[in-house]
Amino acid sequence: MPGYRLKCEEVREELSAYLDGEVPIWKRGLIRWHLMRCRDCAAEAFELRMVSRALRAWGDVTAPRSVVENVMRAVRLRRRKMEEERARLIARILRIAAPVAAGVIALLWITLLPAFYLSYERGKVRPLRDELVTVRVIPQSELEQLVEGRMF
Amino acid sequence: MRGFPSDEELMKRCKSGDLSAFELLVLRYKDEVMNFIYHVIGDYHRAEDLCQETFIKVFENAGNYRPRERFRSWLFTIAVNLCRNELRYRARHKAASLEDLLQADPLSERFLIDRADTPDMICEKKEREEIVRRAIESLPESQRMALVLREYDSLRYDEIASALGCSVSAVKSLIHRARQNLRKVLLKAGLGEGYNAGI
Ligand SMILES: [Zn+2]
Repeated sequence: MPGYRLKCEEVREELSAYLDGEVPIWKRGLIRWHLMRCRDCAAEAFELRMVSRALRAWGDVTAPRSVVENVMRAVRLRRRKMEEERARLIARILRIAAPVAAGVIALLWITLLPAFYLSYERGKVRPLRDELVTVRVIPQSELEQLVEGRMF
Repeated sequence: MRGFPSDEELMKRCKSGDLSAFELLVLRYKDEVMNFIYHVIGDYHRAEDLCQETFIKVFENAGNYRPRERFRSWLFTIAVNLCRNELRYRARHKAASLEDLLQADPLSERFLIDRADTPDMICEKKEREEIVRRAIESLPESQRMALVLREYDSLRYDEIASALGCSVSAVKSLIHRARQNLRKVLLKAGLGEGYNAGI
């Protein structure tokens, strides 16, 4: 955008983001150009940078090794508890489900057993179905031919 | 990249119950999380507890983590929520003790009144630290968190937005307002002088 200029208010709104490198490149150039020419905005940018530097007076901290140990201990304990809970739940389900399943099997056994027995018995005495036998009377002449082997 | 698994890869392993993957994540981020919480609440021992709590919550909520989300932002969302709860709890219980605190600590009183002291008089490292600590403490909650995430953890604006649950433009405005508020306090207190900064 050649010839485009930012106003002081526009620059000031963007100053923090500019110092943090969070402004798009095209705008960055415009802000830098403005700061080189505007004493007031440059002073404000300088002060904002000073604030960031002043904050370094309150230094960084690190977490002690015990944090990792405590977290891992707590997590292992939680996992064990979760596994125990799951096992307890399965046991409870089994405790309720096992008698129900046994009842269902017994019921099926009682109701279906006679039916099975009857069908077995019926199967045993069932007569064979008469085969349909077609008998063709071979005429004498044909029989003779057969004997003579003429037909083969 | 066998030797250096990504956070997302470690989270996937963690979801399937791999505790060594989780431990690696804790080791990787414990200092960043601790640094953030400490600078927000200003109490090292409490920060240690909350840091632990953050990672325990990460483990408990691993099932809710979506791999498309950046782990670092997701982790800081949890830390931010814990800090919010802590600050609200403190605000409820602090009201009565603030007076005592100010009376008990001459430095804080000196800080709150119009400062005539120069850094030469209070150039001890501890005192400078105390000034910064109190200046940050004086910021509204969201400004404080956004600023700390930027200044002490070097998070990008989009990561901060995701951790705080707001837009990037809101983060831009929060950080800018926080710095402007601190500018009044810190420069008045004499901090920031003697630095040689180019723009
Ligand atoms: Zn200007």
